[in-house]
Amino acid sequence: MNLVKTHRPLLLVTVAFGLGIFFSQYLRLSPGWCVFAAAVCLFLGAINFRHGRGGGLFIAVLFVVLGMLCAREAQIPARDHLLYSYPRYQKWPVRLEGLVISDVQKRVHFKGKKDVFILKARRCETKDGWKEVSGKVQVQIFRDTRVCYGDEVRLTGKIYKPFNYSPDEKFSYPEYLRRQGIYLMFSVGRAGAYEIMRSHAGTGWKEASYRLKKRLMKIFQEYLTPNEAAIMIGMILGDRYFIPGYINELFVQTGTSHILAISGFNVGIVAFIVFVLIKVFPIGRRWQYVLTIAFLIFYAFLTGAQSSVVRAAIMAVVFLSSFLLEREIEPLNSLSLAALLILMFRPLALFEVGFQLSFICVWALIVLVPRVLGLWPKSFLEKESGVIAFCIQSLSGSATVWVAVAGLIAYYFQIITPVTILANLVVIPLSTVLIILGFGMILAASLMPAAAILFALCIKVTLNVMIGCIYLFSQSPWAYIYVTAVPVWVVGVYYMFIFGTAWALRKRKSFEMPKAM
Amino acid sequence: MFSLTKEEKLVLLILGLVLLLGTGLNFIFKKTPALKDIVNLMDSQAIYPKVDLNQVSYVQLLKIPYVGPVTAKNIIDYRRENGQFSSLEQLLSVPGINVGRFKKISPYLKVRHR
Repeated sequence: MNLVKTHRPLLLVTVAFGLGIFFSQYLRLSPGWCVFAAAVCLFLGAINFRHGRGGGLFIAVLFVVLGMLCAREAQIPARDHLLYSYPRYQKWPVRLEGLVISDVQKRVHFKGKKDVFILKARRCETKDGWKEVSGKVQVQIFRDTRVCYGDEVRLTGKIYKPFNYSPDEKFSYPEYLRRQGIYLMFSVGRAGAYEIMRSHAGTGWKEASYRLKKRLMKIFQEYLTPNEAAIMIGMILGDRYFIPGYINELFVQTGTSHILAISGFNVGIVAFIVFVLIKVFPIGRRWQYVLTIAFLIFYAFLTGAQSSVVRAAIMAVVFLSSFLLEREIEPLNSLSLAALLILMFRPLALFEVGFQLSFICVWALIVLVPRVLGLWPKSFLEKESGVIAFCIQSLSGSATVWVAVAGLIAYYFQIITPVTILANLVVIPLSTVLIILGFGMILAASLMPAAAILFALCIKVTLNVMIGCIYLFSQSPWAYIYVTAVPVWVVGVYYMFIFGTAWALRKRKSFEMPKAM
Repeated sequence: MFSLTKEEKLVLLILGLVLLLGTGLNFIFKKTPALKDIVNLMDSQAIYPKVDLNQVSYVQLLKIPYVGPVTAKNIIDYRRENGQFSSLEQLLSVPGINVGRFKKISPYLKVRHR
């Protein structure tokens, strides 16, 4: 299928919507004003319906205003929110009832074990007795419990507003939680208590997916050492909290952390594995696409629907649907659709580093890499050039994506990692092998456990070779440079330069990327 | 019987390769168990990310396990007052760092001579 340059209406809508969310942080317009401005834009858009650019301009402004409205709405707690019952730190233990709406993370802290989950509050005890409330609370129970998703629990502990514990000025924990709609935390210490009042009160499919996730985690933990299992769980199931700090730091220093989270790259490999496996069975081509799409949607939910997974899953689903509907695809339009859907559900995701890195990285792959490759003499990139063409494509691709994300990484993590360009050339092929082996091990452990040990041994060797390479890269001279706080305006200028370069290169003939599937 | 599709061949070849490598590794590890420990890099201190004691900043020091704000400040102050570190053992002269703590934090540090 040819990637034909087509109309990109969703790009305009998504950029406008994103700008609206961005402006909402600086222009504190009331929701009433936003509704009024949106209505005016809608009216002007309608009366300019027949005018080409005029109508389009009002529609763009309409989406800017809608972005502002959605962002404002997402930041206003409901009237019966728990926040209004407990506006300050409560010195005395309080009682709270609610439903566990997230997976229960079994974490280790310096004094022992703790369970962390998100509770949808329903009732709380105040001076005037029990009161119906709403809102989400992050709960920590400082012991190993049997609480799981879908349980209705009654907790006795302390409620407080989250505080900033990180020495890093760029990361604010309260802000991070606020963007997820969490304004309060609840700790059940040694003196506190919890009681499970009812089980299986959550959504059936969500409960089943969490249960499956736990079973898959157990498979990795059974056949691999704790550190190996932690990395495989991060790469395949998206939970990174088991990975030890020193291993995490190695990945940060070499700029290869992206393989530890589930990114578009991982989802692409998963889609490929599923598609190839399904093709082995005697079913029609349409059903092969439908089943792959269904699996990808399920996989996105299984891994906690993080921004990068949802983005990659939407793009893959749009890509596969194009075969079903026999329509040509436009990658930038699909990327815009993915961003728009995520922002409509969670407008404040725009300010999350994962969201920004995920989208800028894919934008660079779609737009910038083909244009940069187009600068090379065509003869260098042709198949006949063999190794030279492969080296040019790999290095240019890796370097271009690194340049595109370097501004954000320097801003958020205060580190510049030139070694990433080379490290990715080793780490990406090895992590592809690891993902294939990881899924192979899951299948083997379910069907013939004896073979799972053989998969585990292959994983062990590949993983340790990868870690060894990453360590060597991190220790090479000029591998990484820590920088002092980068002001936001510098990042702005940097990205204006990147987008300007992409714009300047638009008229040159781009290199046509190889077909994906 | 032997007319397999491209996808079937790919899946079977990957499966065969994994089984072959897995069995081979299992055999090697059984014969020489010491090799298993060598391969197991992830649990070894050898791969701890090491930062240069003469370049490290206060914020980077805080990221190192067992280094809190007071110790980090003491290390930076010591470097400012006494110049660059010539060896890791010099850390023992920093207030608040005893032998026990030195053993815990030294795998994360190195001294690059200039």
